[in-house]
Amino acid sequence: MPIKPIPLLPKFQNGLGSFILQCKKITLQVDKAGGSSEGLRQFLKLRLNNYAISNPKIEFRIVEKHGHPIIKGHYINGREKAICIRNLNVDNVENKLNLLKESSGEQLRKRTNKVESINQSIRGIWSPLHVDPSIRHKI
Amino acid sequence: MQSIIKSSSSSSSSVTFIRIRQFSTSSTLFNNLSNSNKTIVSEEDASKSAPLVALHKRLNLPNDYKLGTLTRALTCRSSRGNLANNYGLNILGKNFLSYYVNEYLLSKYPRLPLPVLNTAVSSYISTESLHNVGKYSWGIEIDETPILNKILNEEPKEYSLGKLRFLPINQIEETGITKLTSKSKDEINSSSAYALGVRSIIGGLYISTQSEDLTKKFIYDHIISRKLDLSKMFEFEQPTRELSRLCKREGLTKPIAKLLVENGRLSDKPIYVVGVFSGEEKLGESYGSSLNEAKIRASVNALKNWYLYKPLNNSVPSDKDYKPSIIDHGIVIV
Repeated sequence: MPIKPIPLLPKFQNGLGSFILQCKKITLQVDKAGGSSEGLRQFLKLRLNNYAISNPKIEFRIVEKHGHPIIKGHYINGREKAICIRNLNVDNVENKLNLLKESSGEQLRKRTNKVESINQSIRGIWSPLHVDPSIRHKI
Repeated sequence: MQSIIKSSSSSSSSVTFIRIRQFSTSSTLFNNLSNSNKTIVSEEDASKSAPLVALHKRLNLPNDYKLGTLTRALTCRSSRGNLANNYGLNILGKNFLSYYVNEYLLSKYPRLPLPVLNTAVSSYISTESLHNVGKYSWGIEIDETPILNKILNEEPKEYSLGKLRFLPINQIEETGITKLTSKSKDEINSSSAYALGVRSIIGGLYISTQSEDLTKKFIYDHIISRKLDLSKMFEFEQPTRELSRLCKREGLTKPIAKLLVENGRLSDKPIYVVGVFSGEEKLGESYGSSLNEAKIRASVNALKNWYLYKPLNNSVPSDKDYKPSIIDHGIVIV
């Protein structure tokens, strides 16, 4: 066989073709009596219903447990993000939930390149050999 | 204590699953062997499963796509319980996938050699590839919680309807324990189960909407939209020879390699840039640290330029305004 195929697996490009929200589940851990859970308790009472209806792609789970309140996001890539929301008021609880919702679940890291891409540069890599010979640098 | 909230305002209706029922009696796809006297999940029960509703919404499935169908797509034949399984949906989805992916690749790259075409198709729709789609793109979970834990957690029995159910191969081998019973033929590994699930969801989309266009769009959006670099899938054995045979077949002048630029011939790291020309026309160009290497690379480049030709008219036979593009002579025989 003159041509041998090399098997490769395609790479995902989320948002190209289809967009899948990466946060699939949010666990809200609440203490029934603790003072630090006051904001979360109010949130559960007043806003969670509407919040869940406006975010149908996410599953919400409430866990009752002693201690400070924690919200935890579960992501498609298998990672989890937990935020302690002790003593936060209702609005701040919602902000933290939005933060979990919009996160991709990837570990935060410093981006060193201005552009990150899985595609090759369209112009190609600059090559000194392809510069016009009349202006090429001569040693 | 845990309590579970439904993830959406459920549009739960007590309509049971009528459409599939009709289909199962009329079509051979749903053979009686696998699905007769199996229970079909009602919409009311299915809408109580938060992961199921969330998955439905996450995939942007149309409202015609009943939650019961989604449950069925996630139930493999080997799973415990008496739920209707995805055996038929899987076959349907598999046919849709292979048709649309083959069609897409053949229309986009009409000169693609057959071995590369087959590999490219399986890159898109192989078990491993669909496992990646199900697990890392759609976020389908496996129903792994033991029954005892479900009871202890007071988990509603509908909750696990939104998870992938199958009989896994027990891979944990403990020393001193020999398994006497032979492996059941229904046991499958998780990647096959994911692939079954993904294919069945696609099959279910067609069954629910009865629309080939929607199914096609779904496949393009989720399966074909992934990036596959076909130019990295070639390995040539005798590129220079193959190129000269190709030129002979196409009636072009014999290809000649010409040195375009060079640098540092007398150093230990020389660079040569070689172009392959047929008459006046440049077929390909590449670099190398020896003249021979550069020549071979240039021939490979020329061959890839030929095989990866993309016609401007990129319509596929299932499009309404399809115009046939070129039909290739096929692979060069060396």
